[in-house]
Amino acid sequence: MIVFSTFLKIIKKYYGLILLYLVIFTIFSVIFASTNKQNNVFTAKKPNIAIVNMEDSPLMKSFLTYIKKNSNIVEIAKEDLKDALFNRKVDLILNIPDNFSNDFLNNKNPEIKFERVPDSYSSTYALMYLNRYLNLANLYNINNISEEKLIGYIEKDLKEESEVVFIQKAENNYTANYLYNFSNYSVMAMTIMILSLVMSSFKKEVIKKRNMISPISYKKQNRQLFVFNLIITLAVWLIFIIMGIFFFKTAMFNRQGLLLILNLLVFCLTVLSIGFLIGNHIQNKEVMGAINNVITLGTSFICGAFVPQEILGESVLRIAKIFPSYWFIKNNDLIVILTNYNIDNLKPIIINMGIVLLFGLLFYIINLIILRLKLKAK
Amino acid sequence: MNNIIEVKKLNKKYKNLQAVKDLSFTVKEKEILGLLGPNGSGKTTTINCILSLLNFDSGEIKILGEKMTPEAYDIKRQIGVVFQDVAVFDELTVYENINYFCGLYIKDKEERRKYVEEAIDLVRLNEFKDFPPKKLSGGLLRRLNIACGIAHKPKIIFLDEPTVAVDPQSRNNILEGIKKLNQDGATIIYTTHYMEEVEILCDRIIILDKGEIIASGTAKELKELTNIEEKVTVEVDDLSIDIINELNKFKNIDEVIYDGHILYITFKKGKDNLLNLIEFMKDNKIKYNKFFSELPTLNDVFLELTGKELRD
Amino acid sequence: MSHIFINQFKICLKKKSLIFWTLIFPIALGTFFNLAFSNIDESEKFKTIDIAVVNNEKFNENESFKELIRALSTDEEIFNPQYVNLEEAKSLLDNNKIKGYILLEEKIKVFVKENGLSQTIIKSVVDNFYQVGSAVNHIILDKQNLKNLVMEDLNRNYFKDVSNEKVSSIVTYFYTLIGMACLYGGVFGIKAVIDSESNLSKKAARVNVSPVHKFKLLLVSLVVALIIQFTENLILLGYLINILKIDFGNQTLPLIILAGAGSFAGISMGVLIGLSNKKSEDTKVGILMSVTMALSFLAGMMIKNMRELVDKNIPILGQINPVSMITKALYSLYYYDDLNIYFQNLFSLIIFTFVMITISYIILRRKKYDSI
Repeated sequence: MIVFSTFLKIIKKYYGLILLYLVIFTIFSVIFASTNKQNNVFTAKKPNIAIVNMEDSPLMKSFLTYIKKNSNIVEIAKEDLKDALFNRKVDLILNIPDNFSNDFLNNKNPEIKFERVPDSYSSTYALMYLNRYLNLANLYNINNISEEKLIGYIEKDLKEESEVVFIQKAENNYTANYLYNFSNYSVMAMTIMILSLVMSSFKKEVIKKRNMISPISYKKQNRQLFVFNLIITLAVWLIFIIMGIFFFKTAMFNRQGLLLILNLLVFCLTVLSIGFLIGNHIQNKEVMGAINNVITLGTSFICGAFVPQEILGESVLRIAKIFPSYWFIKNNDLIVILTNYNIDNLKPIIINMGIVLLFGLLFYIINLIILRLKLKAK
Repeated sequence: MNNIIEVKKLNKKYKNLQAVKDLSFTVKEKEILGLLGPNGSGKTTTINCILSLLNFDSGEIKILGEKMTPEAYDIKRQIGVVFQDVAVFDELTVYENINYFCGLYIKDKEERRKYVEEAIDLVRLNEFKDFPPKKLSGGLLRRLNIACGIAHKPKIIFLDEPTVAVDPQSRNNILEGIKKLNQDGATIIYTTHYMEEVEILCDRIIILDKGEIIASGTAKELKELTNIEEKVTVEVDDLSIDIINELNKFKNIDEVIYDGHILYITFKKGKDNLLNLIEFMKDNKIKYNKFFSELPTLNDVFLELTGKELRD
Repeated sequence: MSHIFINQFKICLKKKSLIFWTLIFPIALGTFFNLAFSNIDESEKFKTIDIAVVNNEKFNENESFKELIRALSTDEEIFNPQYVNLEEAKSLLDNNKIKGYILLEEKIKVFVKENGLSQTIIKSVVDNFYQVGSAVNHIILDKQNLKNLVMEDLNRNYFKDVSNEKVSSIVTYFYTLIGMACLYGGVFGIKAVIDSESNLSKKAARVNVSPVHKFKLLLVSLVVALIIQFTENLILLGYLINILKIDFGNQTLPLIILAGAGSFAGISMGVLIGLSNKKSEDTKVGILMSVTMALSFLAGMMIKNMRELVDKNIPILGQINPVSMITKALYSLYYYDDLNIYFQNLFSLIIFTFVMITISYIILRRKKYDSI
């Protein structure tokens, strides 16, 4: 079987590069998924806080005790603070003004200056609960409760908390979408790179052989090529299933996990179709690499593979809708918060999968049209 | 005449393969030396060793009386090389390519321009001066490749199979160009596996096989080495076995082959072979159409020396 | 030499793939970044949270809580509440129509599905309600003869951000992009090596039989590469600063020096990759691309807190990663007034380049061709 042997020859020729790609993108995905697994539960992470100019007043002491309960206090020399912030050793630096307690108790409304790591959730959250303490203290203060008393009262007040009930947490992988959204990048990059590499070399080899051996029919050859590409695509799909099991264990086998796997399969098939289109019509490997990188990184950024769709702006998402990646990622986000498997909830997911498949079909048809046009031109 | 190149006991091994074995020869001033041998016989390796592009295991190489090393820039200045594979920049035009490689030797701009123009004339690429290499056909590309190697008018020129896969027109053009370079005073080392080219072109021929010299001399001298006087081809139908047996008993006969239409006869050294054959035909009233005789070729020499054809 | 110089220029500039990787691709990627992040600041502004409040007896009795929810939804637009019965609330949450629902029993309970920002805000609002309530109780108990309770300024902000006014971390994406572009300059290094090493290309063999010293030619090619890459970096910076309006701080000279050092680092890495193996140009470029992507990933090109994570957990990896060095140097120019961190990273970058060149030189000196 000439197609098969040629195919193996090519794989052998490029196995180093292919392996490198597989390893790098697998590692990327693992790192990405594991960092987000921690980060998403942002309240669980206590911020590191450094305090400058701590006072020895009773109010301040009590405030400090409160801070310690909710965050890690880091002792850093004053001149190293900027570096510490830069290297993320602290998330928040509080600079307590002189005479803070006095001014505060005399209703002078002093301000605590702070520096922080830009946009960090943990520091935002910290500021929120620190404000809460001071607001309560202020409430007592303006109602003329003494410093000693208010400290004791606040301690009791802050123990009052609402009760939070999590519903059906067990079955869900709320962070699984990070891994699978990221796969928009890794799956596309891996699959398209390997497919186009194999196909362009394959064509060269076959052309070489054509001079010696009567060729098998073009159609048949194309069909065999498609089957091999399908095998590669499924192999990439399998890698991500295994990764999912590695991270989320048996949760990958519940309804939700299976939906994620199905969603990825649908996307993989569309990627196969894109890879086939590129591999069929672009011979130059450099051009292929260029197209591959622009498509994969470009769509990953604007469709929400790296930065969640809910953070992206409306106008970007409008553009993103013309790429299958958008619908694939949107679906992942929908699937992980799914708890009720009724028609109302499943319908949009199925529709999105349909859209992704339609994209795949579209690319396949474009491929056929170009092939037809090329044959005519000859 | 002076020895331009001296190669003494050159040995080169690639892992398990002895590519060149105890090779010794000299190249004399203003001659065209042909290195003839089948693919893989060590021609290119020999040239790469002479040029110090490759390390070799033992032996001595002198060019213009001096030892050749990778740093022998004064010697390199006198050398031009045309490699087997086309090696030009796709991003530069025909003119710019020749100018670039010529510029590695000739510093002066004006002088260089003259040289480049002459090289373009020599390989007749005048119409294509401003073409990028990608738009040239295979033959034209080969000519450009040659021009890049010889534009600086070197004293010694190495040409490594410059005519492989070249159309007849370009081939003639290339061969003429090489002759012209020789007439202008260059010493030429020419490798090929086309014996016809060597016969037309070379003053002296070295035949290589498996990294060893198996024969050397002028074309005429080499042909003396063989036992064959001539080869006769006759177009004739329906010869009986008796007749063929008769032919086999001929004087000086080496081999008789008959395929039903054409009769091939090879004669060893001797006199009156053709005359005898024609008389035999007349006596037996055999009617024939074409009848012609060829002298032995270098291929026959090679065949006789190694038991295999030059072209595999 | 001048003619080699000029022709090398022509060759490099005409080789579209080189220009693509070192200039067009980073510009395209920068444009994508800009598209993706241009609205992030806007979206980080607070979005109204959809919630449900179970409309039971306890809720209707609790005037102050009712008032709080009303105030938060009409005055401050934090919540968009629906008042429904328990079954409806459950199904709304089930179908992801709301982030959570509030149920008043003896205590106030918050029902959510996941632990996110919106959920935390809901919880925090309820907590605050409890805590203020508790405080008011304390005050009333304490001051038996209290005539009127002063309740003002319950949500004062006592903190003032003095973080250099530069809070955007989005810029770091663009900084890693510069780092990536610098390393992509390695394609020039690979090309220079292939054109001068006779075991890698025939063109190089041609040079090796000429009287021009091989090192000299390699050097000329590398100088040309450096000039082109440096110019491209400046163009890229110009594009990011003037068209995309990315803030790179105000210190032009250090910025330009960094662009130069980055070009140097990238090209030297390319030279080493070019010399390290005998594979085809395709493969060498493939290796460069993959390594660059990996280093950019670790420097935070895809996830902005990646670099911090690496710095915290595997600091050595952050210290030897040139993309990380460039990113940090650029960020320090943007974030700080003094140049300490900038110089630290510039120095690391120079050491990196030096190591690359030294290894390359050793390989080059050892090289003797046993086969072509």
